[in-house]
Amino acid sequence: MMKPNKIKIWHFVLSIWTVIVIVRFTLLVKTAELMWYVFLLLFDDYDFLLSHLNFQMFDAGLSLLIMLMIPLLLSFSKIRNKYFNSGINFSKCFIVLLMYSFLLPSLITRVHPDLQKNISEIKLLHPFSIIYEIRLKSDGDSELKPIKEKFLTLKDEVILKEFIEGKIFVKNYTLEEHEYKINHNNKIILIPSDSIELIKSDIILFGTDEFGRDIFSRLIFGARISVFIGFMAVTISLILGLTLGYFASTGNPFISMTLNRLNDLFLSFPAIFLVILVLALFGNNLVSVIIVLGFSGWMSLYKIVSSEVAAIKQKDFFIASEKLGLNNYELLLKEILPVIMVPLTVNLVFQFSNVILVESALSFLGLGSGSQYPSWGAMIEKGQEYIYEAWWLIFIPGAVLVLTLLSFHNIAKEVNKFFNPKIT
Amino acid sequence: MTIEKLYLVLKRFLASLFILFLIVTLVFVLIRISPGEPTQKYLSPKLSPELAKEVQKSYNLDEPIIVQYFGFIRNMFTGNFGISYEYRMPVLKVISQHLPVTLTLAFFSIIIQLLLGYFFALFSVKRKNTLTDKFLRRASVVMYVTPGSVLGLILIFIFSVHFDLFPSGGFHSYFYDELSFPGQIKDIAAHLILPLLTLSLPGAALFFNYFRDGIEEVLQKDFVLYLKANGFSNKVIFRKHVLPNVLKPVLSVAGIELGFLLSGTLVTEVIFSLPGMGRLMISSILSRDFPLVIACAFVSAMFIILANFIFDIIKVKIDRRIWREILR
Amino acid sequence: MRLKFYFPAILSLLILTSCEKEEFRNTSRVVIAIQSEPETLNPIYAFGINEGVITDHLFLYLLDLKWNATKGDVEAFPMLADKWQWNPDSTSIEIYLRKDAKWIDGKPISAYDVVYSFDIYSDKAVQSRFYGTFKNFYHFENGEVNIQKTFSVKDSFHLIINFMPDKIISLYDLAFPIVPKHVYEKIKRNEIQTAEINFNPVSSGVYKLKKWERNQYIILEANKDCFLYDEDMIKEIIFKVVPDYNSLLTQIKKGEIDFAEDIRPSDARQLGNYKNLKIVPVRGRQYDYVGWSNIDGKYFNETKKIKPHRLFGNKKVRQALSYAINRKEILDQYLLNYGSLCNSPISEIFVNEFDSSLAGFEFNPEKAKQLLEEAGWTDRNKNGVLEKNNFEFSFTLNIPSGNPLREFAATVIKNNLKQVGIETNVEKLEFGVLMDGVLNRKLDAWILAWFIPLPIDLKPYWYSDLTNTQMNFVGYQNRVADDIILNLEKKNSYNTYIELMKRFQRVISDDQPVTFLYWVDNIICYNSRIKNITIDPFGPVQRIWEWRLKN
Repeated sequence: MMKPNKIKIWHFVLSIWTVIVIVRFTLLVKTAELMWYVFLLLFDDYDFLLSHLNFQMFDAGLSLLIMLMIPLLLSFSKIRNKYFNSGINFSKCFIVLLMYSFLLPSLITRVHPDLQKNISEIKLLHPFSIIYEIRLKSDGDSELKPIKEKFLTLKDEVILKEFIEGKIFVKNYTLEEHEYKINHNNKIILIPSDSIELIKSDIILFGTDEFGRDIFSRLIFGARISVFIGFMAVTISLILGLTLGYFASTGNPFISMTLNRLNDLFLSFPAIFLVILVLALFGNNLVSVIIVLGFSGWMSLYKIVSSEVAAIKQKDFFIASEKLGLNNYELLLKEILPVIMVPLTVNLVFQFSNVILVESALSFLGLGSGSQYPSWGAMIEKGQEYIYEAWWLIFIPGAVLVLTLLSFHNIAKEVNKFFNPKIT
Repeated sequence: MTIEKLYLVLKRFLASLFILFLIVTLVFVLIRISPGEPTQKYLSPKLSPELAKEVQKSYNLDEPIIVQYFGFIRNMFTGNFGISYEYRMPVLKVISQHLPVTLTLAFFSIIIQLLLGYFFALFSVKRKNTLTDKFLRRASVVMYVTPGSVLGLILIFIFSVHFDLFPSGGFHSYFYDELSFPGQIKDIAAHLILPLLTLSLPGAALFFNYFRDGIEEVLQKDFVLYLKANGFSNKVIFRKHVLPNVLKPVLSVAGIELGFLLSGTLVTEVIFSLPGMGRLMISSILSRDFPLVIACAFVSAMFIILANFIFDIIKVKIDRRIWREILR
Repeated sequence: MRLKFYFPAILSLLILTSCEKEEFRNTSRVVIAIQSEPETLNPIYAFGINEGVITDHLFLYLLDLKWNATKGDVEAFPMLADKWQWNPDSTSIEIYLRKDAKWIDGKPISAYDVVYSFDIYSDKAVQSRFYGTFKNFYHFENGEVNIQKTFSVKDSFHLIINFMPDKIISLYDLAFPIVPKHVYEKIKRNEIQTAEINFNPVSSGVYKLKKWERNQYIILEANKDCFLYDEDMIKEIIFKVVPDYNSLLTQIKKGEIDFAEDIRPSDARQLGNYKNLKIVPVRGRQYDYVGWSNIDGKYFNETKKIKPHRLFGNKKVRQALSYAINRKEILDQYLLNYGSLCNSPISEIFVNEFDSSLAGFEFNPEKAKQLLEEAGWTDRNKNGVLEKNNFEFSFTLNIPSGNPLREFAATVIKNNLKQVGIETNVEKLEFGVLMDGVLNRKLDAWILAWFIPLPIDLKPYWYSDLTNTQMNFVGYQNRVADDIILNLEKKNSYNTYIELMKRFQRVISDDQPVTFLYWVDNIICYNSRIKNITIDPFGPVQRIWEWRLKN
């Protein structure tokens, strides 16, 4: 027997929550304030508000809501005991962290994933390098009403921007008689010291890419897109493979024949044509990517399910439960699923990684989630170009992907254990 | 029973022919409705615009798509897939030049994948929950996640650049014709080792996981305990009872994997400059070489269906009870 | 365990294959990397650059054209033509052929071959790459050269070519590889496309085909019977297909390849550190640009009438966009100065025509904002995006997939434009799809490149009549530019010609129908054991017969 682990998973969830609250307290307060102004503007100037509402605003509001919900949810002992009460291990912690970055990327990192400035200075910096951020003084003047003014300043502080005018990033600088000497596009320029508000140093955790964009921030925001695509595509494959595989073995020879040939059709239909088909029907967007990946992955699941089910049907326990009068749905869930669980989970976990990697390759064929979202697959793909100059570009997202995969693999093992308790 | 089996096989053969027909039709329609023209390469300041129009006319692309389709189908039944726009020779001849590489690679790769996966799984299961086992399992995930292009680069760097053991690309050397017969075999083998590794390692990692988890699961089953209690030797139990159970899902996946390998392995072919079906298909799609695209789809679909059939037969051999379900 | 048997077997195989390495590298042999398989070795159909390069060495030309860097123009030297004479008003040329030139099957190359070549190149049924380009010759309605009027053959090695009187004739009008009449005659004209000679040519050049292994390599060997043959010449040229860029780098470092082009700038720096490698850029033949659709494409497709584009129809907006894009940064950071800023479609290799006084649009976001405001685009609601009549300034910038430079440029441009309040959505498209969009005027903005033809030809790109000028993708409309282009087609004095060229550059730079980004160098890397390589705007691989190997 395993010894009972005193630290539960919900402890971990809560402690991460606490850390975020402490570190981002002012930000959370400002977000709340911003939401209040959004509410006020709703009545004051609707058109003005409408032009400002976008996904990022929505995301900020949602983040705040989620932060409020987490302790609330955990305080219900029922939810806590059902989902978050198992002992912690590395895999679970990693998945928790992944979920946090999936839900609250803008609270974890405060750098826009596409922020680029002074490319010459901060491109291709290795992990743990230090840069200086010089903040210039700005003179704001505006003729807007105070409520809008306040709204704009708040929005400026809460929403991440991919371009910041008043900031200069440098690797180093020297001070000479009221003037700061910095390197700008391979030229030395001077900035008078009275135009500078403050200079602060920053550590770049995971380095920067060829545009000087922060890898850490891209990873966190990339988790959202990659995990989402991975989950959705695998779910589609799973549903298709499982149901079709089950129907194929219900005994009707015509259905099974048709489904088998359909499977052959999908297998032998080159995936690139599927891409073209979906592009033509749905256009180039996230949903298309998920559909393509989901529909091109169900064949192996189908094969496994149909051949396993065919074998199970000959077994005594299945015939017994059939005679007992269980319906199709119960038979599938209670009798068949546990048996095919092992090959299925292996397949699913590997397909998950496949999907994340292949997503980037799709962009070569003109279909991809686009470059407006950083995704892990795209980062790995891009990193290959710089493999000789900047190992971290490919190594860090690769390592994160491996960790994610291992964690899912381990958790799948535990699920297996739940269904087949004999496995140790 | 054999007659019923033959009947089923025949039925399946006919159904497969229908599938092939369907695929050809679908590809035909898709490649035509997708944007892009084969005459795009004639667009250049050096070339006259009239040329593109002339060429288009000679390809019959100005006719309505239905007329083109029926013309194409008629030709296809006489075994004539047309002439490639790019290569200017019958498409089947083009494909026959690219097929040997793909067939060799796919055949050896699937064997390597299964063998590597199997032996490592055996090795790992015997040392269950030891450090080696854990390491192998983690390593297999890393291996699976590594993109083919990166793996290829690493292998080239180690074995070709650093140790200079194998050439870094090509199917055989320029001086191939000057070599003796064993020398030619050696030459091809040396050229194929790195591509085969690149192609096989991720797949081997996948099969390793299937084998390992499957063996572990089956060994836990009651019937194994029962057989043991009845005094059967471990070897017999493993061969006769454990392995068939493990093999079923593995063979299902192997059929699919072989299919993928046969339809071309683009990344490996590109890295190692091998003339295979993957590169042919992609380049024909990118240049909108319609007859070649369709013929490629046809040939690779044929091989995929065949591969699945072969593995289904093997599955029947293993578990005779379910042949009806499988052959269907 | 059976494993015990397998392992030694595999190991011994490994050892066997690795240690027996025969020395075949000593022969006089050079390996040139090409990215994709040539489709044919028939000069009639050598559409691609690779095919052009190979057929240029298999087939001889009338004249041998060389680039003169100080004049910025070509000069002609004898090749098949021993000597030639223009008549005073240069409407006809009298050519004396060499008598010792032979096809590889032993037949001499005669004036009849020359005449036949023009005949076949211009034939409609043949669909050659030169079809429809014989506008300066006497020709029929369907583009075929009028043989009777154009050629008068005096004897087997002496002929006169007559041109149409009112055209500007240049040496390029004679720059065609000559094909063997006695071979092509036997084939029906419309079957030449698929004939066996496409793969097994009867050639005349200083090299001949030795072996062609599909999708792997083409081996050419020196042709001893050719008059250009020289004892020191490289005996074998291998064109090896290397589709993967990283493999190309590995192979050139290892010495498996001797010559490669299209090296990426960052790798050029690194390769430059190797002692056995040399890096040389080919300058000024290709520029990248951001195309702004000047006209409303949808409206044009429907009505064939011109209506300015919603966003880019205004000259001030286009100028503002050019000011807002930091071209210098892309040039410095990605191209690492293997290139130069581009201000007009005429590059500095044309020493005389190039207008060096053109200032160009230096990065200046303030100026850009001011111009946009003058054009009516302001950010009234302060949401960071400009608007005019309740329309926000946002558009999709399309780039071809698989081109790292353009991906880099698009990312920088997106960020630059955000700075002045323009929302850009970058979308990658497969090249065929992108070209389809550009040709049918479905796209708003895109990044592509123009390869500059020799001689300079402006009309297809910038003339207003959109039904005839297929290359004017952006739909550029300007009366002044049209006038200049039409004037350039007439016979002008040298000074007027230069003046017209310079004026055109000023007009187009002011109009910014596209944002000219930069001239991109084609970076060549070759093994320093090869000597006497000519690399100039004419092309990276040329005149291989002049190459020598260092001993």
